[in-house]
Amino acid sequence: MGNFTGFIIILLIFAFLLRVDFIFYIIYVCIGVYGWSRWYTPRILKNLAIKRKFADHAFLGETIEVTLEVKNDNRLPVPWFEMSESMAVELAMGQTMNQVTTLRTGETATFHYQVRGMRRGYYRLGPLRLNTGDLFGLVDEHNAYFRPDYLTVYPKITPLHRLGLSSRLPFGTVSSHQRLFEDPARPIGVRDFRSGDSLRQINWKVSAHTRNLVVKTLQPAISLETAICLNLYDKDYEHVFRYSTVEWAIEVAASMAAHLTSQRQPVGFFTNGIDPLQGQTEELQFDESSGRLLRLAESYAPAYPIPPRSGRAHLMKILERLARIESADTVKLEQWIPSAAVPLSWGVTVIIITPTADEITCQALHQLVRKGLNPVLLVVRKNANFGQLKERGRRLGFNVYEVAEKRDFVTQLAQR
Amino acid sequence: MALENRPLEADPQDENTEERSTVRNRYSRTVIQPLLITLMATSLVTTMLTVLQIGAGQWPWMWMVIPCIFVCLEGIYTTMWLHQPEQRGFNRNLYRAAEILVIILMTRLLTWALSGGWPAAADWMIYLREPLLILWDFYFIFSLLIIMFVWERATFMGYVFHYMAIDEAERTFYQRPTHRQREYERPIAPQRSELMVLYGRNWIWGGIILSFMAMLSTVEYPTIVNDGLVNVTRLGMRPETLMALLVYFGAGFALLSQARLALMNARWLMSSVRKTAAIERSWSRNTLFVLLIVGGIAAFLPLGSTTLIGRLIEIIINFVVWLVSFIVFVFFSILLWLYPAGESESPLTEEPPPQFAPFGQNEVIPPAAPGFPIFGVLFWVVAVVASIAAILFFLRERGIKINSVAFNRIWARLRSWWRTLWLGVKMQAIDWRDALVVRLVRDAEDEGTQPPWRFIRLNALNPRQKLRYFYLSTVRRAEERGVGRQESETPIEYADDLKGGWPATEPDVDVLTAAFLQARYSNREITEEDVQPVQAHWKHIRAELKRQAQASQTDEHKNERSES
Repeated sequence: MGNFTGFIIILLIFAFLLRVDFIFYIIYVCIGVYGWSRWYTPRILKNLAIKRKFADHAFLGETIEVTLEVKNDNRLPVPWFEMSESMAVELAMGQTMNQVTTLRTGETATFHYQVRGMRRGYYRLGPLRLNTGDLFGLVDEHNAYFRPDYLTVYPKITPLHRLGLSSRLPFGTVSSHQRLFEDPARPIGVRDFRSGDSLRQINWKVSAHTRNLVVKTLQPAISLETAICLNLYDKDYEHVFRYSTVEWAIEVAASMAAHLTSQRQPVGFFTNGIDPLQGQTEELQFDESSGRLLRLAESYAPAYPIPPRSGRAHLMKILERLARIESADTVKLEQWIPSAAVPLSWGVTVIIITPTADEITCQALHQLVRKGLNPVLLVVRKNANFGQLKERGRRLGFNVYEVAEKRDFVTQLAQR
Repeated sequence: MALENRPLEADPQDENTEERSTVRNRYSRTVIQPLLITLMATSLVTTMLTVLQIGAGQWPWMWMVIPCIFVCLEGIYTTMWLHQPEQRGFNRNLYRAAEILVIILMTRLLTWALSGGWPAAADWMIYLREPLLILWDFYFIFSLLIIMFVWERATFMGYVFHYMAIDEAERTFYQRPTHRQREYERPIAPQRSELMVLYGRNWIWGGIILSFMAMLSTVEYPTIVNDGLVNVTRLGMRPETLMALLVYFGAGFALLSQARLALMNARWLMSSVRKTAAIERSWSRNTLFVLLIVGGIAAFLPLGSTTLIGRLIEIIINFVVWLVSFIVFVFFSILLWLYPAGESESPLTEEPPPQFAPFGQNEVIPPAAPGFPIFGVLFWVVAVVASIAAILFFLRERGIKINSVAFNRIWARLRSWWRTLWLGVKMQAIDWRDALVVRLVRDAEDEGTQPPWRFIRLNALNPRQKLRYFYLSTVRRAEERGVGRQESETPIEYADDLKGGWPATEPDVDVLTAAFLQARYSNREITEEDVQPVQAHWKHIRAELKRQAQASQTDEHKNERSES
């Protein structure tokens, strides 16, 4: 405020010229107020302790309450500060988090707002923009940002009570009780020695340590694992229905993974789509309109595979990947599936989820059959030649199902 | 301490209530800001009044502070009232004109009351002929100037803060949900930041004027005449000036803070920022806190002129002033050298300065011009009508209306009272007329037989009147006895006539005449002791006159009897 500085100078000249000492007091007060504003305003935001509390993972349609705690660690009160929280459009419930308040020394202000996960994705909450100034408008306002946090909204999961995919090989824990082909390279624990156990099975080191004979327990060598392969190659999806079909394919994959995990079966996930978070080292970029994470422009590498594991934590990992995954112009399914299947063990059921499948795709799946895997093809888009495709699959040694909508998914799969 | 705020879950009705109260900013707008503006404007004129008190101390200038406060408050609240949505179709300029006229009238009455110089009846006759003379009063003119100045300042600040505040249209528009905000309904927002700068400039210039006035209030003016401007004697600063300086800058800072709050309120409203009610509550408190802390610290600092750097700056400033003066002097010297004064011009002769009577003192009201003052009467008729109209207009629009029922009742009562009075007077006049007729008839009958009767209670008279009464009653009795006093005769000459008529009363007449001359023409105090001897002489003269009268009557009766 140039006027104010000029005013102080004029008063100073007056005070000396007119020899009125009291004007010096006025000058001191003016300088004091100006100095106070200049000194204190930049320090206000530095001493605000801010916390953002919320559940950083949510299921689709779930409402998440976000709590912002702001504590004034200054030794003086904060006259005012403005907070503006950036919020993804996909999460906002028609409300904004713009607030201005004041804080006394040591006071904590708590603000709550809610977001709703309306679409799967990896979203940013924040950053919180802070703005403050003085009481007199003598100095410019100061801004600061509080770091953003991230929220993962899982894809929609359709619960399946029973998934009766027919298979030549054991599929699921129910039919895997017989330990015919235990693999000594895959120990999963020990148990007490029982009569009839082979001496080769005894774990001598542990037995010596515990002074009790114990035998190794091994994972069955015939894999009961399932690998879900999701084809997100852009050009395989019809342009008009791409968005809905991709989302549907992801929902099918998530539902399959959740169901198999609930059946205590190891599940893995492979896709030729892109995980935008993969390979990001710099500051994450988010779409301004939707608030979703943007992938790197030059990134066309498929997401890393998630090998089959069991357990809920592993399911969360798969769901997180499914929350972020996007279709892209990466690798065609028939080119990608052979390489993707390389690390899979013999006998693994491979569920391929794709919008369409032609003869070349079927030939590629036949190669999997020949490698000892158990491919199952799920077509997630209505196909006029589905009967032909199904027949081709049968001849080539794998099953084909059409799951073009939720009704199909539930009826065709669940009732079999 | 924890401040819990659930903005998205609170009851919408409660939220709206709180929101409205904070957006409207009622307490700040209606109480804090008017008071601060009043304090600032009044403190500004207080220094002017102090200077006037020093320069023309025969009038009670400092009393004008009180009306200034009222005028400030009136101006601010009138501004707020005029800008209410209900007054949108109202002629504001006309109302302001009526307001100014009322202020002028009030100031005129107030200055008469404060100076004790209410005009006499004779003055009103002069004002009737020369109406503008009623304004020709030093105390009134300067009081009016000061009151109008403070009114203008307060009104201007009122306007500034009114436009800075959120108005009803903005509040209504921006509190709607976004989807219901029609672009064509968006109110035009005033340039609030420019208004704030405008306020800042006015405050700063006011501060400079105030400082200058504060300096003027420390000057001992008689020394300017004797010693010149350079060696002028400086007095200490008066307490009222100190107070005015403190109040002006304190209130100015507080108002600056209020302006900032108004600015922020508008911004927050337009950008849909929710505001906690604590902001409004704590804003003034925090401002006061900062001002007290800074003011307290400043009170312990050394005065600028006593510090080393202060002396240094003073030397530099003095040098700069000297340098500027020197340059100006050299410039004018060169001008005079280049364009010398013509020889043909007659040399300037020193004339004695004209002697003016001090302005405002011993104002001589010019004698009234003869003839009927048509212009004056017309002027006063117009002025009185305009004044009454202005007062009625000013009060009526503010809701103060004359109760016609009560007025009619009072008027009927007055008429009844007047009729009764008139009847009483009329009857009394008739009675008096009848009594007078009777008296005149009786007097006519008694004329020549009875002396005119007049009752004078001697004890009710003061000593001087008693002496005069003694002499004049003697003169009357002597006239009745045939020794009358000529108009051209002095009392001493007449005394000789009395002595000639009644030689036995010669010493008494001398004493009585001397006493009368003392009572009539001397300002010497006359007491009862002086009256007593004179009264004895008067009684002796009266008895002598009565005796002589009775003797003459007896002689006349004897002559009549002898003739019969």
